[in-house]
Amino acid sequence: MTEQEYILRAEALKERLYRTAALYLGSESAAVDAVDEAVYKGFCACKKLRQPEFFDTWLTRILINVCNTELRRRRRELSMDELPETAQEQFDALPLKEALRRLPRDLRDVIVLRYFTGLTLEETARALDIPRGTVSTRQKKALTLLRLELTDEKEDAV
Amino acid sequence: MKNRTDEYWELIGELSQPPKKLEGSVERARRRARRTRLRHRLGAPAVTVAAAASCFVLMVNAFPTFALACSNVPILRELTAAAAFSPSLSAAVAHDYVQYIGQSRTVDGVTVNLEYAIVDQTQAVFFYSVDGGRFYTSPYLTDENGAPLWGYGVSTSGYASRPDDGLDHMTLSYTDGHSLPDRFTMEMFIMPEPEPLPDQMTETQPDAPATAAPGADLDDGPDEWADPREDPGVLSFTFDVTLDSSRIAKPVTVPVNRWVEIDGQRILVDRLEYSPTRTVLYLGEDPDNTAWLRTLKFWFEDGNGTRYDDIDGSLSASGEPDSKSYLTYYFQSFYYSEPKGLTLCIDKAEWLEKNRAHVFLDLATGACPGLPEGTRVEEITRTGDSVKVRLLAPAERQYLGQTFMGTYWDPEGGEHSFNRWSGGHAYDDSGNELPGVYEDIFLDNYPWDTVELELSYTSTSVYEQPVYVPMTPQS
Repeated sequence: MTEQEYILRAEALKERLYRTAALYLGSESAAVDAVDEAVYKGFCACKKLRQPEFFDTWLTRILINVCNTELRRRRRELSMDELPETAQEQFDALPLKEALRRLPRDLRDVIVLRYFTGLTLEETARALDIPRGTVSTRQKKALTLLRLELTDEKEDAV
Repeated sequence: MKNRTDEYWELIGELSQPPKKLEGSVERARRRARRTRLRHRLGAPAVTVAAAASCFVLMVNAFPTFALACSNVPILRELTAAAAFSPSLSAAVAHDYVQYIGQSRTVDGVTVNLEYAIVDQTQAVFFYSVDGGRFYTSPYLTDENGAPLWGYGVSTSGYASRPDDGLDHMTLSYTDGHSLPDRFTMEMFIMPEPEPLPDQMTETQPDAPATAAPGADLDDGPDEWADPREDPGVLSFTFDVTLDSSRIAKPVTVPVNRWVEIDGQRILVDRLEYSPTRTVLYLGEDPDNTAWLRTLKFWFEDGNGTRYDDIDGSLSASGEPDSKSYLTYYFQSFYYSEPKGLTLCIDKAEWLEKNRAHVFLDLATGACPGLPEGTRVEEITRTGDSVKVRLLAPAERQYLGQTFMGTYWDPEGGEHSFNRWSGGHAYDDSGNELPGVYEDIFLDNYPWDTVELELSYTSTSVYEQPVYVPMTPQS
């Protein structure tokens, strides 16, 4: 992929990237910083992307890595524990945004990508490098924990 | 408690209004990548580039007769300006020691004009212009049969040394035993300038300063090398070049053959060789020396007391495979001036003791016994698996090379290579310049707590009374 193509595709994707980063990191400024970092890393590596049709999942994956690096750094500074899948009552007591951030990481990855970034099941599987069936299983678990009932129509609206 | 579905749509609404700062995200990435590439490509501190620019202005004013001689020939005006940074090239142009190439190629709207060459038996300097792109990486050279040519290194001009809209230059320096054939093909690689995005045409975002704040670069990973011919983002321009070998001057040799003792080490000043583009000083060394000669700084004086300094930054050196010494030095050309009664005046040397090449740095405490005198570890920053080590070295190390060689080892014996290095003036927290120079080295993907480093020098000597060596054969 050429740099010019990359610039156009990244421009088109940046708002979805921001939504993803904002849910991972919780603040506007941290999310913009993460998008900046991911877009920069993508820019440096875009010539190696041989299959432009996977651009969205490729750049989203870079962003998730950036966010996880930042979360690991934060964890050393303050306690931000995930809640276990059995803590249904505690999830119920939290606002959705906070509940999302306290989900176990593998469930949170799926729910953020599927319902906020707007990736399909296939794309989510590719972005996380897990089987499609695993995405489905985690999606069901996460929706149950969050008590979210989203239809296909709502998914398409994102 | 709110209905979760309502909460979901509220959250989607909230996230659908990103902050204004997000708008410039892609452009910031593009600028950052460009700055990083430029730093790697120039490979020189900003002060060096600034010095080259100053040098250009100086030389335009210092050679009025030469400029006047060429000003009546319109086709040479650009070349005169492009060569003005170098006394050697200026003299070559003034003596009409130029070969005209005059070829132009256009690919995808980008045009490269290969205009002139100044060629002698040690190197070839090509002058060219690019419209719509910028130099990307060294050209590939092949002979008439398509076989690759070997035995040359390429250096290029930075933007700072080029007159506005003028000619750039690149220099092919041959190693011993190599030269350019009369006919060859040169494939140049140019990166097109990207078009600005429509919504960012009016944005006036300043570039970051050339010397970034400490630590700012830690996460800037190195650009990975890719073959430019397989890179769809790089344009290729092919020129079939024919040189006139009858116009390639033979070098003039001045034998010297004098042994001198410097800091207890015996060095042979063997000979000088004048070519139109540069002078080469050949040295030798006593195999019983206890240290390798790593750097020599010098100037020349002629019998009339005229001093010849390294004003165009051409002083450089090369070594041999079987020695860690640098014994061949390149200086501005004396080919057309041939000054009489030359004396070599040495004012600085660096040595590497043969028995203390390696040191061990504790990345947790900064302890590093065995560093050269006056050099200390100032700061160690770890981010993830990357480590930045800041050294503070004495002021006399300014414009000299790195403290360490390019390879380092982890405690398990794994071998690594430095991809990044930077250096410059040092400042305290209040912005006051410190009496020294800093050097940042980066250990990428390095989770270990200690590192073994190989020193590039162990001592620096500055001679208040220079070491004088007459450039005449010893009787």
